[in-house]
Amino acid sequence: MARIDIDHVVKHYVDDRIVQTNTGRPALDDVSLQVADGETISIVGSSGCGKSTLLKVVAGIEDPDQGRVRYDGVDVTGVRPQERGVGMVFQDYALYPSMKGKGNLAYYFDVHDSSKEEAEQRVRETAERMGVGFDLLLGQVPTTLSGGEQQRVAIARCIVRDPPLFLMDEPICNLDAKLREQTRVEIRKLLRKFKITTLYVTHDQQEAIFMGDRIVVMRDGRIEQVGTFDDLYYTPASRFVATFIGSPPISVLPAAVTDGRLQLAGASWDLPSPVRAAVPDGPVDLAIRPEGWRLDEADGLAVSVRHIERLPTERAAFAYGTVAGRNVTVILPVDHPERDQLTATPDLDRAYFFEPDGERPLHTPGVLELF
Amino acid sequence: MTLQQEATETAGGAEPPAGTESQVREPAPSRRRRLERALFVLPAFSFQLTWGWYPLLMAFVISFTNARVRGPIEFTGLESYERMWSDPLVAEAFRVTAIYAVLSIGLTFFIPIFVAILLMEMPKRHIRWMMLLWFIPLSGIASTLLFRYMFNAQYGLFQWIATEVLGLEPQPFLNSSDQVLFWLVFPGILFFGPGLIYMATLQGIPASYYEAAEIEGAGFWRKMWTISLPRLRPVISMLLIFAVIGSTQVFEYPMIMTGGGPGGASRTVVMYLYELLQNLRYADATALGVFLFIGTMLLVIIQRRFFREDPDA
Repeated sequence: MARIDIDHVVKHYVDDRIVQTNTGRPALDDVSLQVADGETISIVGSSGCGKSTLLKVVAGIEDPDQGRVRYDGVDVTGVRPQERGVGMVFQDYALYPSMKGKGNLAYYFDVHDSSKEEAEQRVRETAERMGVGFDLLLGQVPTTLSGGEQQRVAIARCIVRDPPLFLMDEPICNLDAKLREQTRVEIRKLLRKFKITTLYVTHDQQEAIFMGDRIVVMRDGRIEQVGTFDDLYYTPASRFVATFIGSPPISVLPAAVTDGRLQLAGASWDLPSPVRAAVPDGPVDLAIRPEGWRLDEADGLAVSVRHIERLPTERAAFAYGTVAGRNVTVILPVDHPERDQLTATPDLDRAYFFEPDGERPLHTPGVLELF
Repeated sequence: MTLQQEATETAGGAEPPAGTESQVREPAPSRRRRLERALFVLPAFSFQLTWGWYPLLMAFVISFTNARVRGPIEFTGLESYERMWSDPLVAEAFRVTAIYAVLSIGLTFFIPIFVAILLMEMPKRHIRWMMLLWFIPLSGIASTLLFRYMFNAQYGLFQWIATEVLGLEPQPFLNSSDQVLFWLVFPGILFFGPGLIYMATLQGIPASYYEAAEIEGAGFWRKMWTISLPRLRPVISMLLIFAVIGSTQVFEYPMIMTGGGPGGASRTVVMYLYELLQNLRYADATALGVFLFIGTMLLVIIQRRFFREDPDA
């Protein structure tokens, strides 16, 4: 169990590949993050945003150019990964191909010259903790295991030695959808059970929401925002976070404010007073989530519908269409009749306002008080 | 002339076996399909037969005769085998070949495995240049000729290095019967032939394996033992077969460099076989060839046994 401090870390990859891919931009650009003991942090971002690099810097596989990494207040920057004692699960599992499952689990004890009995016992204990049927995997070489099984062995290889810190680099993205769902639940259960501090990298926001106590959104080597899902969803720190979090994504429509009235595609509405205080007159980008529309009101906008996706389990449907040439998504009741025209009014209490063509939010609705 | 008849017979027999084989595998393909298949197989099959199996078979047949240019040819049983078995030059040629093979496999086959692994530890931008450097000198006979000049005992580059740079006595190099085999193998170390293949294979190992091992506390040697070598194993196994066959049958290289000298100290089995052919001793030459074939076969079988349990298979 450990508390992790990542303190102003900068990391450049300079021409350290056989094929040159030096873009001149740092892979990590002044990244700072505090992880509490036992906390699970999900790190999301599109590919190449530096999330895997951050993990490698924390593991010690890569050294930062600047900044420090501390475990429990102890500076470990420059300490070799061999001496850090962290556990890491890789996207391709990285099981040693020449060893059976058991050999993979015992590798750590082998390296550290532990006695055979100790290794044996730890492997047995871990097999019990990993649950039903895990024993069977121990006797097989990784190439004969399925993706899900390999992944279980890879996780077991980490927990067999009680690491203070667990690093997971897209551990389940190579599994098929059904197995992914199942494994996700399993990993979460294990993490809750062992209360291991965990950094969990993924590109799938659903996974990030499910796994993480808090979520880190990264972009181009920087942390855009850290927070719970509600924080990110209702009070995004930038337009990027607003559009990245939420599925289907938020719809952004260019609008204008004159005398406290919002003008959009020929219609206009009075801004609620908290919004009016934050949004000055002039052009503004209005962003509406699918659930931020009211249907069939007299002052609504005409939405031409492209297609409707029904989600019976959610008792809802998504209508994908356009308003004034911009893509919008509107949530409908599941029994809403199939029409190619809708009337929808943006609910301005639940709308987001951004400076036109900028990243900065002018007003966000804030976390809803649901109960 | 009976031999030629036999040849046409075997070559002509190519078509029917190919046809029947495809019949067995597939449930009743149409006549036209069968014919098409046979026609597709025919060129490769007849090529293999005329240039592969026929000479091999004929070598066996000739080795049991007193084959010569003129005069009647008769079967003489194991006479030529006995003659070759008791020929001291044959024993010498096998001894030379064995030493050459051991030196060549040891120095140009096993050393590059470790050199390649060490090289992969270098920064990637250096590896790129290293690989390029090794690629450039790879060319067969031209570089062999070049090396012959470099080994020249009077004005060669190596003599200059030995006397002027290292301050040694003038070295005989290829003129010494003790050193000649080593110096023959030596350029092969610089060429680093299989090393490139090892490096290519090593590059194909996902970095995450090494990262996982590092996180678990493995150092350089353990990573090599548990990841690099097991991953190289199938490549090593295959290349070793080629190396065994290549080094036991080595011919053109010592032929150009030394012509077998000094005093037969670098005369390999195939070179001696070539001499026998020049002296028109066909039966003896083929008998020697059969000896070499059996010897090589044994080595390959031993090698296959050794590498049998393949973790990646």
